[in-house]
Amino acid sequence: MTSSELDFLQGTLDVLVLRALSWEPMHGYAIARFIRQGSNETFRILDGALYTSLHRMEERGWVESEWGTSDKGKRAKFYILTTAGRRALKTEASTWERYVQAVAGVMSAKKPEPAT
Amino acid sequence: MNFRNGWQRLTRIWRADTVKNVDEELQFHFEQKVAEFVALGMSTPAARARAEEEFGDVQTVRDSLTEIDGRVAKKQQRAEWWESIAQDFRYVVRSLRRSPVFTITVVATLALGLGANAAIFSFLDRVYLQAPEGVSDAATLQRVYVNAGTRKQAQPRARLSLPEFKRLRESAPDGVALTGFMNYKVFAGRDNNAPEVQATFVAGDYFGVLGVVPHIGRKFSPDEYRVEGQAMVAIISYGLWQNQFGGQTDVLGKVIDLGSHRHVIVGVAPKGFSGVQLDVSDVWVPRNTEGSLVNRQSDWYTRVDQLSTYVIARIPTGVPATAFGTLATQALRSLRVFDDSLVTVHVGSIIEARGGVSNVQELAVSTRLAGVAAVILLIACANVVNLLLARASSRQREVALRLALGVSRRRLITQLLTESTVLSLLSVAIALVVAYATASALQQLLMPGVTWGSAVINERVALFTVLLALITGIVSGVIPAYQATRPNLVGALKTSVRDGGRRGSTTRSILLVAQTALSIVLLAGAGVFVRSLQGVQAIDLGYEADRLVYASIRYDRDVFNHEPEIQQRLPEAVERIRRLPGVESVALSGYIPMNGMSWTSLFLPGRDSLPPSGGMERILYQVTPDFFKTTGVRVLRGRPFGDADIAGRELVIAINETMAKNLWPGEDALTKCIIVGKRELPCRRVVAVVSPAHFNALIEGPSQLYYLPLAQAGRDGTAVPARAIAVRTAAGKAGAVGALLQKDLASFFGSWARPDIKTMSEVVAPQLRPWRTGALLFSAAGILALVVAAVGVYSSIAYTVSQRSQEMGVRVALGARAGDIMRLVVREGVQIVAVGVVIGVLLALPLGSIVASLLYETSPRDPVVLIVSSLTLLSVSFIACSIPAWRASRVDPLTAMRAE
Repeated sequence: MTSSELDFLQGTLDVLVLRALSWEPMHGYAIARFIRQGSNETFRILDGALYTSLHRMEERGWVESEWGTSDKGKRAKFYILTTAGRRALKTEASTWERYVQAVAGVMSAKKPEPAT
Repeated sequence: MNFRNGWQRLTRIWRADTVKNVDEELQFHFEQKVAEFVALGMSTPAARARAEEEFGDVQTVRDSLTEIDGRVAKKQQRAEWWESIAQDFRYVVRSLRRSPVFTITVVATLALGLGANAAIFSFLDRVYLQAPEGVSDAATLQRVYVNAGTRKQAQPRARLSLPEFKRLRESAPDGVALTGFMNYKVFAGRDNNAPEVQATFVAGDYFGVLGVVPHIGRKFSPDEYRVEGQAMVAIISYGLWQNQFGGQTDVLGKVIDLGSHRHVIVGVAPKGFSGVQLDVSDVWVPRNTEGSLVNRQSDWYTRVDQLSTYVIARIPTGVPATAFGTLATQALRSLRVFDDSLVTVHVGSIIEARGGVSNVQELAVSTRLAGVAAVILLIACANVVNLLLARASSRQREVALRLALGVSRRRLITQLLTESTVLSLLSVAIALVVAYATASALQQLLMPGVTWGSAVINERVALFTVLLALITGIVSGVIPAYQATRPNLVGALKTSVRDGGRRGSTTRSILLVAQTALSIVLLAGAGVFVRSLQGVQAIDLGYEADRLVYASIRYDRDVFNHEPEIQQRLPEAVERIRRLPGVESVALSGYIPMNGMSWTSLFLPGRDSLPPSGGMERILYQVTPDFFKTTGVRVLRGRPFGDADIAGRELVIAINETMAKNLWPGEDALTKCIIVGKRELPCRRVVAVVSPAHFNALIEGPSQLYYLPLAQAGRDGTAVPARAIAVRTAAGKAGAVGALLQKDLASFFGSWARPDIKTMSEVVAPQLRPWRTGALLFSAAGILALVVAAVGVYSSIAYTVSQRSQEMGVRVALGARAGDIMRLVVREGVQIVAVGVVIGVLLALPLGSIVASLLYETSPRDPVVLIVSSLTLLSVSFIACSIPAWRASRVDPLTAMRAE
């Protein structure tokens, strides 16, 4: 692993997967590729963790799965966002947004005046 | 693509193999990944290695995915199951709403059957199954019984004398604690209209042994329990506290008057506790306050012949009941009261009825009623099965269509069973209403003396009813469900509904036969009980019971002895009564028949002994001259007593015919002479031979009664106070005169007097009651069975007729007249019923022995009863068949034939 790879929290992975699925139903491999490309290869998530996240969210009712056919005509398991999943994505995304803004705010702030 | 269905198909695949699915998913992932890397120029092995590296620990992930998917699959399966139940349920409700007549008939039939069972369960549960409420750890509480009979008949008794109880307490093994009690109705208060309450007189740490902690206040102290003491304290029930004392906590320290005794209230029993008898206790007082505190003998509690005390033992789990029994037996034998070698002590359930020493006849009736209720439910079931079958065959094409469309047979059967179950659950609510009314009536009928505790319908009864309804629903649904879904697709789709109706007709006939047969059994049961009651009612007591009223003056003996005053003023009272409207004559006697008796020694001059009486009692009555006229005892020969038969004149006696024949067989007893009391006394001349009468019981063998004029009773030990006023009323006036007497005597004697007025019928009523109850309950069951059977016959025939209206049309078109059609239909119906009647009679013959012991001089196989039951059922069936038959005969041939 390189230093540019970030440590990944479970919740963050979930929100990325949900985001991926918000476009269209996808199979696991496609989701992995989407995240990798979307982050300009910044994130290197272990594929196993991704599948675990998918199955967990299925148990939680955020996604449903269905066997279908991939672009190349092979049998693959597709995941679909449920209503509950869409709602979860909204909350998680806004939390994430605030987090990013907070971090960005701190990072771009000027040197504080010394206390008088 | 319909995602829902895809999803369900998917879960089914998963259920089959979650592992396979996970593997397939991961395999696809690796294939893609490897392909991607190969496209970038890697060698296949390198690509594979890289893919695995980016995946992480394959085996761990695979295991955890399988585990998660397993959980998901299970959850889905459950949801799917519920969904299908809900779907079936919705479907069933929709289809039942479309056929309200069918639904109402089935629900009503089942409600009657279930209600009867719930009612009898409520009764038996209370009496036989439920330990007394409010005691702690009822399993280790036992009732103590003593067997102290003769060698010939060892009769267990539940009541012990106080010395026996004391001895048992002293000899009890370690850890075993005993308490004794007796129940007593007393007036709570001192004036005329004070309410009567059930007082329980307790000894030996009653509350401690039962593990009952007072709601407020305290238990009795050991010192207050001592029988030698005189502790005027009381603990009142929660109910009495609420009703009489307004539930106020300042009740402690207040007083409650029980008869002449004034008790200080020291505690209130917890809610729900009402003693350990079926009869609810209102107040508990120490046993040492029993009787008149002033007049009782100082050693009253040492009397061994007063069998008054029920004994309860707390036997902890470690101590074997037999060990207690052995010790207790030894202890009682050492008391040497009875034929001691025969005394044994044993323990039994805390539940009174299981001891088998009380309410034997009532309990016997109730257990047989449980059988009757079960039979009623069977009849109802047969009826419902029949209705479901009819419904199924009219829906045959729908079912066939659904089968053809690929709905599984299993699914259809589930749906049909859901229907019958929904029907029987619907009937539960009505059944509970039926049960509520019936169970309350049962309690009053079978055990009227008992003040019953908590509600008739409790959660146990409700649960029982729901379970029974579920079983009933499934059982009665199975046959129709299988019949309806029998895979005979092509045939059913091709044929018309009408022909399809023939299929279930054999089953329906069998059910009709079964139903009829069971109804005959119940009708015959009702019949023999009614015959038995008629027999008992026809018993000639020897009195003119419907015109005879007895009055006596009760008062609280503990307060003051009013006996001399009563005796002194009775003649005046008699004169007053004589002048009351509706009164024809008045007489006095020592006591009321069935409510007391006396006897003394008899001698015949010149003979060593009287002829053996052959087991008959010789009973003495002391009466005033008008007694015979008043009671309806007829003077067969000689003269009644007169005003001249007083002390100082010739001593006279009257004897009944039975006695005359026994003492002087073949001779005229008149003018013969009998010595009463002591041999050296003068002889009494027989002036009258009178008709026989009962002295003790409704059902008794012949007895020898002899009568002395009250005015001549005395020196020979026959003197008694006249306690009973016999009044002969004008025909039909007994009730009115009774009410008049009640008022008049109360005002004549004063506020202390509690006149007790009973018509002769009321005197006998308690003895007649079990017979009447049996007849009433079995008749009700019989009528219920008859109604259900009639509905069964009607609906079955009506259904058949409606299925065959085309055939009827053809017949009419071919020249059959209305009468022919009617005969045809009725004959078919009655034929089936007749088979059932024959089988029913054959069943009733052996089953009769179950009730034989409850009947009075009636054979349970009474031919008249069997014939009448059969004819009743046949005629009811005839009517039930005639209605649809009449309708069939009015069929317009054109409409019927075109209808297809």
